Amino acid sequence: MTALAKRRFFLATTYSGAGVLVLAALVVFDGRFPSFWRWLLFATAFVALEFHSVEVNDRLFQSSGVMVAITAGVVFALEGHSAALGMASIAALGPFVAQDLRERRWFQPAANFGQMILTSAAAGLVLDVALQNVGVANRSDFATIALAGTVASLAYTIVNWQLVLFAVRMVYRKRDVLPWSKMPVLLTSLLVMGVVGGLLGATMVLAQPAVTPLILIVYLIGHLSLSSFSQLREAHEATLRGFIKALEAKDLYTRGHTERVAYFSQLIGEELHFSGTQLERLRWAALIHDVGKLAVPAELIRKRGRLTDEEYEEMQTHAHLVEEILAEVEFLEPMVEIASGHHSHYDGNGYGGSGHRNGLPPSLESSILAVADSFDAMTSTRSYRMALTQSYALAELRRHAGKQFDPDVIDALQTSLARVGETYGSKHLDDEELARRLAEQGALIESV
Amino acid sequence: MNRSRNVLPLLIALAGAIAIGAIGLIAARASGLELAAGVLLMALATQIRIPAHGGRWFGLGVAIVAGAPIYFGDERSVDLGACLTLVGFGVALGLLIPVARARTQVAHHFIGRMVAMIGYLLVFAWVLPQPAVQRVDDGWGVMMPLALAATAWLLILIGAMTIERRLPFAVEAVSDEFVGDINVFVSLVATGALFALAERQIGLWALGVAGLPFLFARSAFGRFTTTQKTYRQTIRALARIPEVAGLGVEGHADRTAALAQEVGYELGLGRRDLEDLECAALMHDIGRITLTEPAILRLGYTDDDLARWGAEIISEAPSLKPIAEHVRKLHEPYRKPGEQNDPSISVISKIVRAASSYDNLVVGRQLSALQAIEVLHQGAAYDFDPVVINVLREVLERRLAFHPATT
Repeated sequence: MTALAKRRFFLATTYSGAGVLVLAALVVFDGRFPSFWRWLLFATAFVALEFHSVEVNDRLFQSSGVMVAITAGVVFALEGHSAALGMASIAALGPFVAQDLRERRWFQPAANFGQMILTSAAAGLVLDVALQNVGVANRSDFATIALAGTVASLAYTIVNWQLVLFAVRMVYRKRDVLPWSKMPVLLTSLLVMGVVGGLLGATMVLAQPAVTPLILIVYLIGHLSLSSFSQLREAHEATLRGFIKALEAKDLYTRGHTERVAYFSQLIGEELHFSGTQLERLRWAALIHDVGKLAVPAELIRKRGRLTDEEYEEMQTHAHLVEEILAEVEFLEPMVEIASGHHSHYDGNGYGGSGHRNGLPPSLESSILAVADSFDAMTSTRSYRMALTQSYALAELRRHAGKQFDPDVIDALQTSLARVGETYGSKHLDDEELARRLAEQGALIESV
Repeated sequence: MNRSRNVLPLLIALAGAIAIGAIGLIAARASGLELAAGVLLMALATQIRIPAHGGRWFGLGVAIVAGAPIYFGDERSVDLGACLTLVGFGVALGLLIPVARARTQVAHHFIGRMVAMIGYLLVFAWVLPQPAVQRVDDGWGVMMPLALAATAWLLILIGAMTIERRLPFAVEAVSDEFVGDINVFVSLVATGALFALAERQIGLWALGVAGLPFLFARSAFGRFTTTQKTYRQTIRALARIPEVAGLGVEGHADRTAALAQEVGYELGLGRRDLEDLECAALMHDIGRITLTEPAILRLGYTDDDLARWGAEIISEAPSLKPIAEHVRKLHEPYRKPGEQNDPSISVISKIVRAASSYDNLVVGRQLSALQAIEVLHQGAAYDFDPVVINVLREVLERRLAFHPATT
């Protein structure tokens, strides 16, 4: 068992153990269990929503479970039962996400199990205290109830945030949570859903029961639309990926190049604490960075030996072609700009389209793409040169650091490669001239 | 759009709306102030459009009309007069606002939509006082007329749009066409009814209770339609790669897609088929990207090869598998000797082939529209389906392609 696995095991046991203890304490010391059918209704809705959580932004999942939990808590508290017990027992059912089950992960669900019980119990206690004097509610109590719902969702959010923070520090030993910078978005949406949950709970108690199905219909339609949006977005990315793969297949030597550059860019971006949106943008930019090359005659791309000046000129135009082709896609605009700057130099030289700012260094994203692109070019076999070793490639990047490449980005690449423990390129070939000669002699397959 | 063609439907819609509003006003029981506020709200709401997945939109007025019979009236009867005033004068004002702002307005959409709204109100007002409904516990009693009336509303809407679109009255075509739009409609109706129901007990808090879930749904619709647009733009951009590379005629994909869409529309294809058709038309020449290969240029290639290579590239995208099939079959004859029709050749393939060939003849070989259609007719034995060619001819006639000056 590695140290990381040990820490994860410890965390999962602690959280789930604490959850079980809190649940047991609520049963023993409170025990005002809500009416079973009411409880079952909310529990079903909660589990259904948790199970079908939707990816709204780059790996940011949104589930509306918290809204149902707060609604349930308000209803339980107003009917004179224990909101804490009701909510915690519902939360205990919902830590499983479909994807976890499919991938047979247990650490995440176990930790979530404890985390959700603790957060729900905290929110439930707030509701129990705030609403204990609101007996048979009437219209004038609406504001009080809505406010209680808001405070409860605030408690939910804070406890949740603290538990996540603790888990991140304990398991991953990171003091800053910048890589988890999606958290503010997630917390805001938690808070808003909590407030809505409070409103809905108050409505269910105060208004006719007939309003409940109407609320559910609107909400369900929104949820379904969100999940079809998520599917469509995946289809969109898959389409672009598929096309680029198919088009790349024209050339044996650049096959997989795009995917690898996307991967290296992702590694560097994570190392530099990019946010989810920034990472997504970087990934897309990497995917499209060579689309322009598809318009370059094949014999030029796979030419052995050095290119003539004219041929070099022709190759350069591909950076402009990328923009011409993809300029129509509004969504890709920032990505096109990043991609078109990937032949710009750190000192302001080089060439490129709108992403190239003459005399000025390119954007950080373009610099990342440039480093990832060159690194992959050196560590993979091309028509004119055999693959070189990783250490040679890194040294070569460093030799041009400050002129062609951003030195910080090279550092980030090296650290992140060490972090994931991967090595690319040839095992021993670290002489560029020899690599070129070998390629010219037609040695296609490297003998290791 | 021809302006004079738009004036008559606008006048008819206006006159109808004002007449309905006037009839309603005579019978209305609600106070003048409430009615005026309602009409104003309705007029403004018709200007706010919620785009649906299927490319249509619904005005926010749908929610107001849905809530009206619950708001005006009690648990026993509906103040139908007030509701009709709201719809009639509200729609009339809503029609005039874009005219005042010098925007063109497609008025005939409004006629069908208004008839459907009135259908909803009448069914609601008729069902609510029925003894069977009155026996139901309070609160739940409203749900039955609401469900029935909303169904009637939807059916009239679908009927009107089916006539307008000249779709065949077949379940498949109609459901294909509307399934993406229904979610927005239902969420609007539910939100309106929800507000009116909750308002009775909790006053203006109802605005939050009905509004917040709707805002959530609205943001999801927005995300979906934006992604849909982006997806379409991406397909269009990818389709242009061969042209940018100088391997195809500039603008061929776009022109083929536009022509194919018109032909498909005339043939009564459903929304999903039209989408596939657009995509297949845009992508049909993507196989040309392989023409940078020296080996291929030396050995030569046929149209069938191009279609096959194109299909191979397209099928790398999992969601475009069906499109790849249409492209693969592009240059197969639509019937073989001794057969009526080859069922494996989709109508989409046939349309794309005809539209693409037409564009090649007119732009590539510089033929006139009439000469080009003549060439296509000559190929009607095996290459081009005569049904498709006839519709193509009609479309071109409407485009005035056969104007004497050009023939």
